[in-house]
Amino acid sequence: MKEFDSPRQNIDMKIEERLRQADPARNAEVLDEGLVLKAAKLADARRLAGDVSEASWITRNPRRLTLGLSGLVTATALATAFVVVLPGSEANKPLPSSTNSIASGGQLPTLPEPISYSNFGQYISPEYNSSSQALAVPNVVAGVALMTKNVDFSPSKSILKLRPSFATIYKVTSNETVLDTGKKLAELFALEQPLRISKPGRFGSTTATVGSIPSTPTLPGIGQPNSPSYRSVAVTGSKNGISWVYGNSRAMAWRPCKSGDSMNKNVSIISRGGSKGHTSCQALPSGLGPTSTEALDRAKQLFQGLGYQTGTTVASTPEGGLYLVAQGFGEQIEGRLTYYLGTVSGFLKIGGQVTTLAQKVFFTSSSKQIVSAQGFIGNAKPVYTSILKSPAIAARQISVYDQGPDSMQLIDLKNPGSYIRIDYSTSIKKAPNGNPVPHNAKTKTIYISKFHLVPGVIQGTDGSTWLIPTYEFTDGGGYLGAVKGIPRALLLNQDASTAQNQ
Amino acid sequence: MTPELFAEHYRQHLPAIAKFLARRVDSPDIEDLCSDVFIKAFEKKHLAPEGFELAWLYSIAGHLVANHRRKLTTATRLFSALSVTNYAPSAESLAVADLTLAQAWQKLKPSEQNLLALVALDGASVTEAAKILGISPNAVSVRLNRARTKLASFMEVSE
Repeated sequence: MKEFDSPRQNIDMKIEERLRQADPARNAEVLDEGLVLKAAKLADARRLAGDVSEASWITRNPRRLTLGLSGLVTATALATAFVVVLPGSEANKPLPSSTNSIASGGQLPTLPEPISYSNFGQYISPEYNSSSQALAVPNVVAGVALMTKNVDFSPSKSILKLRPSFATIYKVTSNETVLDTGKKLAELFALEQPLRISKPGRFGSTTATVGSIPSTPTLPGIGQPNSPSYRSVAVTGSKNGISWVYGNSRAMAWRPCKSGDSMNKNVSIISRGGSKGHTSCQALPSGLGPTSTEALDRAKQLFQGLGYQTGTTVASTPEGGLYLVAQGFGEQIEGRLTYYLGTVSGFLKIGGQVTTLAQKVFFTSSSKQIVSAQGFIGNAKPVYTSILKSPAIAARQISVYDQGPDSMQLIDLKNPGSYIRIDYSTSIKKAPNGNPVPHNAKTKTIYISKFHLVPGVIQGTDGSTWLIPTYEFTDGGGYLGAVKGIPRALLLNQDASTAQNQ
Repeated sequence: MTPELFAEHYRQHLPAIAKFLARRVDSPDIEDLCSDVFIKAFEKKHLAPEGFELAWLYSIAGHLVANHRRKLTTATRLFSALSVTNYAPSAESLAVADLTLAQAWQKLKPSEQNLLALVALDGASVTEAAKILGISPNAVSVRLNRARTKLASFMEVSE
């Protein structure tokens, strides 16, 4: 500044030096840095105790296109630990979600600590983690993937105006023991054998099994011709959540191949193999499976036995019940399942919204029996309110590959087992396709103009399941991506391998 | 902004705010007032000027110190509260180290004490001081020069 150039500067500096030497704060006490966080939390709590508005979760438009990668869809559907919420002991009456306790998220405490979650759940191995990511590559080998380095997502003016809101986070906890669940499932699947229960293991979890368990690990539902026959239920979990799986290799009606068998004509799968010099051929015949109506009835019967009420339309599905969707049933042979596997998924309806939390029942084309099923038992309870990221911030966090820490994968309600990835925005469809775009290509900005707030599912590393508010973005022309709605600071991402090492 | 993010951004300023308060209030009150500063800052975080967060915190702390002193004064002398406009370090607090300086300091106007303390003790730049006091940087420069000159002349007389 000008005055510092004057001859008075030395005198001034001397005065200031004397002031500094006389500084009363020279030996001031050092305060704990935690004071800042405590103060902020106190202010936040005071604010929430006052005027808090809760964002409403808008029902998603169910119009989605399938991935069209049947093998991938099947493998993903079978191997991914989808979770389900059950009313449990409150069977035949609505979950607390129908009461004010769910609607009044603003009355709940704020999130006191980060949610420790895993992208793939605690029971999925790191090997599966890596292989599924490798398998998922074809999901995005489309125009947008090839031009990803040249795409920039930006919120439109209308979204920029919107301020952050608050929304409720739900946690799923079991309300019955692993043993009780095992007994119930054994009865539903007519497994009249002794129930075995393990000692408490990791996270205090126990496992109950009933039936003939295959000696070698086999993915439920994918019965191989030479694998041992089995029919069994396994239930595992703790107070943080109970999941179950049923497998029935006998539902896979294999027969020796005949001359003229073809996967394009009369069989779903032909498997070749055998010892050296001896080639065997097994065919899995098609057209013997259930119709979609029969499958829905069987699944409905199963879910109701577990305590759910069900519906086949969103409107008719009761609160806390399951919205049933059948997928993959062909119509070439008298309406019976002609595709290798058909699925009935029950999506939980909570807070008036259909979530992506689902349990699944699989049928094959060769038998009317259930080949496999999987689910989760527990209650979804509103536990926290959280301030959300602003829509504009979330819009900038869209990851084309859905692998970033802010990204969220939403299950396609119309096509159980597949993630919403293909109904791309019209802006993306207009993007260069077919060949990788040179790195120096001009960046294409896609302006995001619309979003829905939907409940997305994340799994805690302790086996718990959470429903967190999630932004699902569009630009008016199609789906662009989903982003976790709550701030990153409230989420502690631990993948399966990390969690297992702890 | 969550409390966690807020703390992440603002905890770096805690030592400066603690010293700011230590220069102006008694030791037992420092921690409470410091907490009040960050509570108020969280409540008004949307008003924080980017790049001048510390100056903004000083401004909040200054108001809280003034209020704090007003409460103390009110407790002992009713009706005198409105006369408290200064939140600079007191001459008594400076006297421990430099009696001459303290005597000269006492002769400055409260506004001059505030400005000098902000720049010389709290380390605020001219621009930051302008933000804190709500005046232009030019006005800060002029008043700062005037305050320095006056303090120097008072000290020459004293010595």
